[in-house]
Amino acid sequence: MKCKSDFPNSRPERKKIVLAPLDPVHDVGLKLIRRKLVERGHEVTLLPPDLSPEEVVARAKALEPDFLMVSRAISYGTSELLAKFVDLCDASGLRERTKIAAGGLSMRPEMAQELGFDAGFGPDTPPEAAVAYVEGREAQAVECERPMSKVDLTAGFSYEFRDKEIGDLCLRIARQLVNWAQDKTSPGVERARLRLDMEEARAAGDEKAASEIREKYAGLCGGEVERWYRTGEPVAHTRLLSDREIEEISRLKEGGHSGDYPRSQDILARYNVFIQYGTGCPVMDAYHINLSLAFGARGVIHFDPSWGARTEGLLEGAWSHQHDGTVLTLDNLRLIKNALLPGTMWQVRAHRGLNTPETVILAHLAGADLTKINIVYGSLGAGTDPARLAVDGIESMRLAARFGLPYDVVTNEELCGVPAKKAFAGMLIVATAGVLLGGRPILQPLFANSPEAIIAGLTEDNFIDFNAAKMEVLREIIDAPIWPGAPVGFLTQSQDRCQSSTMTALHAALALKIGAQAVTIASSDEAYAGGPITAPARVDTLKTTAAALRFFGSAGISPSRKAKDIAQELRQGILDVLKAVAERGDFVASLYEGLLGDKEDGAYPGRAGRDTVKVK
Amino acid sequence: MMRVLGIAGTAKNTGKTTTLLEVLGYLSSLGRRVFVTSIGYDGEDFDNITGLPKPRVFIPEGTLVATALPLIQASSVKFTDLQDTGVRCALGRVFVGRASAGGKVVLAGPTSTRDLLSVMKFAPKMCTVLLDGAFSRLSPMVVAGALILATGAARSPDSHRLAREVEIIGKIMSLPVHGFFASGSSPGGDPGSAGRTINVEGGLFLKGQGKELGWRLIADGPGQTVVYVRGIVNPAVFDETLSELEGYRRDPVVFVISHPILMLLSGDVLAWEDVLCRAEEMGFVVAVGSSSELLGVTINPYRPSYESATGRFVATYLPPRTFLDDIRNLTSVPCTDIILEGPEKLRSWLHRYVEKQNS
Amino acid sequence: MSVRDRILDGCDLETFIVCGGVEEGKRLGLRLMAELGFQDADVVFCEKGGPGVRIRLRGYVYRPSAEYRWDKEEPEDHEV
Repeated sequence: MKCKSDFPNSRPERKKIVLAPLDPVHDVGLKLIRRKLVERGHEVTLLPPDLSPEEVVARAKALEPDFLMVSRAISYGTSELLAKFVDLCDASGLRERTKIAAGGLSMRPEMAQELGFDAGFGPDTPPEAAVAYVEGREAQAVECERPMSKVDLTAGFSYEFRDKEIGDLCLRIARQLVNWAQDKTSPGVERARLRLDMEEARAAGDEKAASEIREKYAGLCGGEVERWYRTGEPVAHTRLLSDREIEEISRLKEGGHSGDYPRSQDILARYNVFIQYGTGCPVMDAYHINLSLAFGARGVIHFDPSWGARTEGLLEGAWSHQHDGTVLTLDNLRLIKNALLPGTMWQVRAHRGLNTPETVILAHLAGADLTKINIVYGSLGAGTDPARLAVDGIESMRLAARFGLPYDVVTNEELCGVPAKKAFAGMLIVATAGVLLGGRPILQPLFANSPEAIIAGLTEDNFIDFNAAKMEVLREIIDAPIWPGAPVGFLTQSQDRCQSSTMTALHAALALKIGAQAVTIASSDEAYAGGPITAPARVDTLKTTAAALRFFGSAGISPSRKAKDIAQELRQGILDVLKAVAERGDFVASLYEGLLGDKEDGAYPGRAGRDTVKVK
Repeated sequence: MMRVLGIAGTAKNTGKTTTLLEVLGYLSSLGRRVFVTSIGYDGEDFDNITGLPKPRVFIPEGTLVATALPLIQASSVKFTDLQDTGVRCALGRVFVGRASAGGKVVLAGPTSTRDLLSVMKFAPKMCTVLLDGAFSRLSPMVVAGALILATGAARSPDSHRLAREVEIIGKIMSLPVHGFFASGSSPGGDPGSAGRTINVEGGLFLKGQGKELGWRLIADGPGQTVVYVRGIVNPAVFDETLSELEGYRRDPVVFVISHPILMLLSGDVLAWEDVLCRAEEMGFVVAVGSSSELLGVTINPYRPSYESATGRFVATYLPPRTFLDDIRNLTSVPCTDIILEGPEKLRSWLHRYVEKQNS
Repeated sequence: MSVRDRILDGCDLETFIVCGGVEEGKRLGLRLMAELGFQDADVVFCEKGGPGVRIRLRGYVYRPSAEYRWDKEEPEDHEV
């Protein structure tokens, strides 16, 4: 499947084309085709719209064109008119040297064939397809496609601090953090090493070595995961996938479901819009991924169950989970990879729990393109002990750098009520540590109506200023990629599908129009908690996002003057927070003590994995 | 020898596919080798426009089929001896293949006369070529030696109007054949028994063309004239010629139109009733260069009607017996409803046609 | 098999129910879903306005991890 919106460079052979509207209201498409054909150097005559079919045939006959293209909307009555027109062309001898094609609403190749045309173009056909047809390139090969190659979201960024004052503080704190972690380890770090060794042994066919490592691995697990390794008893609400279900995922890719892409969504090929999946079932995930990619998603993000972050150890095998979140195992990831297209960007999130370093290993082994790491959010908003996640996070960033996996540094603690200045300070410190470790982090500001924004009235008038200010301040501080999420529009969406999709689309368009490298969007079920996200709800927001991007085009969005004030205040706030953390001289202690978000803000240092950090 | 039998309709949903299936089955039962193609698209499960179910095309074992390659590949029937005809239709290249077993197929073949002739070169000499029509399309049917016409309530629920149409089509299809075109020589040379000749290239279908011909005939002076018309003839435009000649020209004129089907492609076919009478009254002869024999007409009471309340098409039927009898009583062309009366009448037409060809 | 088995996950029904308030609207909506044969139904959205509620109802046909039947059999042909 090719989407040749770009034409081949060589000049085509000059053709003579007559365009005829058989329908007075219907020649916009023909005018568009005329422009494209003329641009390509063809000789085009557009006949007036009020001619009878007989007159069209007579005029075309006199011009002796290579192609006669007519447009007409099809209905029961008008189809007979078109069939009659074809007969006139045929019996007049016009078809001896002229190919005839029809375009219009409801026109499909089958319809064109039934009516007797040489080709037919429907409303979803780009003018380029008509041009390709005229130039003798395969008209049927000109279909829409999804991009074949991935985008490096971090390409071209130097990670240099533009704001020296803030940069120096970030570097000072990040160095302290990296040094602090240097002599420390944790069960999470150990398991990651064992997992890598175990999978390498398996890949080398050394089952004995693998099984010895597995034994050690099990000893570092906890809760139901440990029980599964010891007794084989499944974790609650999970079951193994059947062979048939596993086959189903590969069949989905081979079975002709791929390649059927709505053209209305092609605009998304120019942007990097990510969706999140994690229905619990890899088969359902594969379907959701497949249809989301068809509707224009450029990337997909794996969501695992929340217990996966709180339990030491990850399962093995292909598991289905009856609740939210798809179990993180190498087998599940490899199955899901089958549903991706060659150009799909795939993120496996490692950011928040007790299995963070091992998740980076799995992401690497399964062939993911991106991961997600943030020590601050994970310890203040997601329940993991700050010291533990600091050790694991540093190891994760080291691994991500080793495997060449870029990662975003998320700031979802803002949702708890942590003000943006603290969340951003935390994000900048972690990202700086990432760069020091040789990695390529991506900043992930939240685009949301956060509690801070509501209380301070930052979003009272509009949802543009606060978000635009966040982008601006980050760009003024550092030359790094920005990927708002995750997803955008948090706390602006209601359970109403129209409202929810509109909010998501406008937030996504705002982010992309003011220069974000990527954006993560929710489904229109974002605010509905009564059950799993459905496929149509995923399509809803991809449709509205495409429509919003089409609406804004290259016409940008202008924040009001208030955005500048918010940005200035935010920069000052970030500076103050960094100063306080630097002064404290201990990043991890700053987390416990609330410098990056305290109880007042709704942030609580997590307890999972407490006292598990050991000195090597 | 090769015979070409066309199944044409006066509109969509007039029963072409049902008739085609019956003809296919019958010819195969006689042991005839059949080569089948469609000048449109036929055999899909649901109609492209109304969305209502359609009979699928079942082809007997051994049938040669010319259809677009993707449809051959998608068919449940295995095809052997596949050949690329070099003709391309809107759905891909047209291939010819032999059905190794009976089964369902979707037909989509050459849609222009030129392409049809190219595809027919792949038909063996001793076979019957069956041309499946589309909509009311007729122009490629000029290559058919015989025609079966399908009409019915989908064309018009008015049985009187349908009967008139059938009658006038029958009359046009049986216009006398003037030897000239048939011999293949170029008109304008020795017209034989006639005096002068006028050649009208490109037909008579635009307003004013008939008048112009009238003036030429008046300017031509006295004596018999043969007018050879190559191309489409519209009754109203032809009538312009008659109007011009009225009162000016009494000498005989023979109008030879290359094929009667070319008289059915432009304008209201019923207008020919008056125009042909007028020509006759004026002492003129209207003849054709070559013709296709109209074997008979199948009548279908089925009518898809659009329900605005649901926004969908629903299938409705006129009372079949009354509908058929009303039409039959008003026309001399043989008619049948093969669902109502069974296939015997249709078979008798085919039988006569095959016998005639054999003799 | 029923065409319903071809639904990937859930089937949403969005309509306006003439009623006195949100609670009545939800009750009527769920009754409607039951009448239509959806056993696993929920109200996704319901808002009162004028003479009734704009309501979006959802019937889950397959929740994740269920035994899906999408491609297992042909749906019955519908007669016209």
